[in-house]
Amino acid sequence: MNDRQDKPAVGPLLLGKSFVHPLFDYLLIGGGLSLLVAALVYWPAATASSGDAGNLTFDERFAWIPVLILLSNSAHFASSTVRLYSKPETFHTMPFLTMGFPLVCLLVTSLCIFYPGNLGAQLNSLYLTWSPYHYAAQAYGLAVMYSYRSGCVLSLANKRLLRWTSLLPFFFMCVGGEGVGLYWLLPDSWMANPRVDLLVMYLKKWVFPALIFGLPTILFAKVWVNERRPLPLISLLVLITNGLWFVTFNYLQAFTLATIFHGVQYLAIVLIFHVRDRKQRPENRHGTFYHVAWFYGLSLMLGYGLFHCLPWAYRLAGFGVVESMLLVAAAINLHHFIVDGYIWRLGKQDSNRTIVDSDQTPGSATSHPG
Amino acid sequence: MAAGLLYSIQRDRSLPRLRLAYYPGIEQLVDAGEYRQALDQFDVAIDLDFLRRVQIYQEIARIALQNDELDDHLRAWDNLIKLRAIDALTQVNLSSFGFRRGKPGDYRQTEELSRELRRQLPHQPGVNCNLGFVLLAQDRLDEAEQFFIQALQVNPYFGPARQGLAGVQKARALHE
Repeated sequence: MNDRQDKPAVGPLLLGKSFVHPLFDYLLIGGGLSLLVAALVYWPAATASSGDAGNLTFDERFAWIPVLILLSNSAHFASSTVRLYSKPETFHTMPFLTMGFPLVCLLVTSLCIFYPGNLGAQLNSLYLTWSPYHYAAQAYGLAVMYSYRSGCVLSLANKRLLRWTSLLPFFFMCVGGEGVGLYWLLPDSWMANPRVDLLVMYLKKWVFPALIFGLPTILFAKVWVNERRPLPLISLLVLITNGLWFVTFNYLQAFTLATIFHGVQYLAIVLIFHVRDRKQRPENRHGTFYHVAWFYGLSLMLGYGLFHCLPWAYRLAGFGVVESMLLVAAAINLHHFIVDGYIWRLGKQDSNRTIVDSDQTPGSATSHPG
Repeated sequence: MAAGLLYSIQRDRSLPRLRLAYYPGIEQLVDAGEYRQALDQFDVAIDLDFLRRVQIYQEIARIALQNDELDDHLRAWDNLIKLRAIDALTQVNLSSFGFRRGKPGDYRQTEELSRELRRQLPHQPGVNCNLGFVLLAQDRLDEAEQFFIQALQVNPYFGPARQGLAGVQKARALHE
């Protein structure tokens, strides 16, 4: 009888420990909102034969997306830079990343714009191949973080399984198509081989979708058995939504929509970290709204400057509009991927760890993810 | 970035677009009469923006048509066919369109396109008929007749094929 009383209720364990509110965390960080939009994208397609919506192209149905791209994508790419420079001690602890790396990026971008057909195309393929890896890594990080915050400490084996599960959409994209992943790295003649073509088709149509949606469920059951408590559902949701975009939509739509919702997810979490960082400072005199407005406003302006104004600077220097816009975007993406690898580290002295540890579920273990 | 911001004022205020974000810049080149430069930019886009190749070729086809550059127009459509980006009906229309727009005495590309379409759609009367007209225009009467007959075998009431056969008879009469 005492055992029964001591056991925590399953409901709160499944819900997990949110940063803001379960609804906010599940919709924006977990990717629940993207599931709703997935239905919205699919619904007109399903009624294509009978309704007017069917006559509209994807672009026409989603004419609002450019605004979302500015508010979400551009701001999110810039937000990692804003976080890098606003996070305490980064100039001291990461001098090359904060001062030398932007110059390296500018130099590489300029070289690629100068040789768009050779270097530029490689930069673009690198960015397109790295993107799904970056999203997968973010999904993994968030899944582990929520698991840890919710008191579900994963064993090394479960963490490895979670890692491989989160990487599946990346592998799916690697066997995907022209200019990306294996199609970029391996000779055309290999990939054009009918047997390879058949294998790729089989992998994309059957194997990867089954793994992408099946393995998280297996992981969930395994963790519950091994750790004697469930993985919070938000960790599962993060993995499934990341896979959903790449499996359900074609390359272009997947890249567009996955980037938007990755951006929403990222902005939400980076804002939480920034606000908590600032509010922990003894000299802080401002409330949450001020810090959110300051950080997001700066990210939005920087995003506009990087994606819209910087290409114009290259055009002013005499380069073409296409290479200026596309390669600046590719370079900003790559800069973001690299910066992210550093600013989210959970070092013992890092302010990130304090935030992850804050309002952690009582009684959870002391080991940390990553 | 600051220089870029100042330079962009009054030039292109559009936000980054989903649909070929760089297109306004290319459109400006076309408007300024720099058609070849615009096409060069599209060539760069084909290398870099390979996920949007279909849209790029569609834009090339459009600006080529505006500038009466038939070869570029047909080449763009040919690439769209290779990418399997257009449906059968559009292909038939395109074949017909390509023939009508053909420059006098220059049917090489139109014939290639029509033959390619016929390989893909051997039982479409329109495709057979268009190939027949291209051959008729080159005075290759026996070959042309063969394709008009094939079109009529599929659809005995297909008017253009009957017109084509009449054209072949007329040309033969003139030769004699």
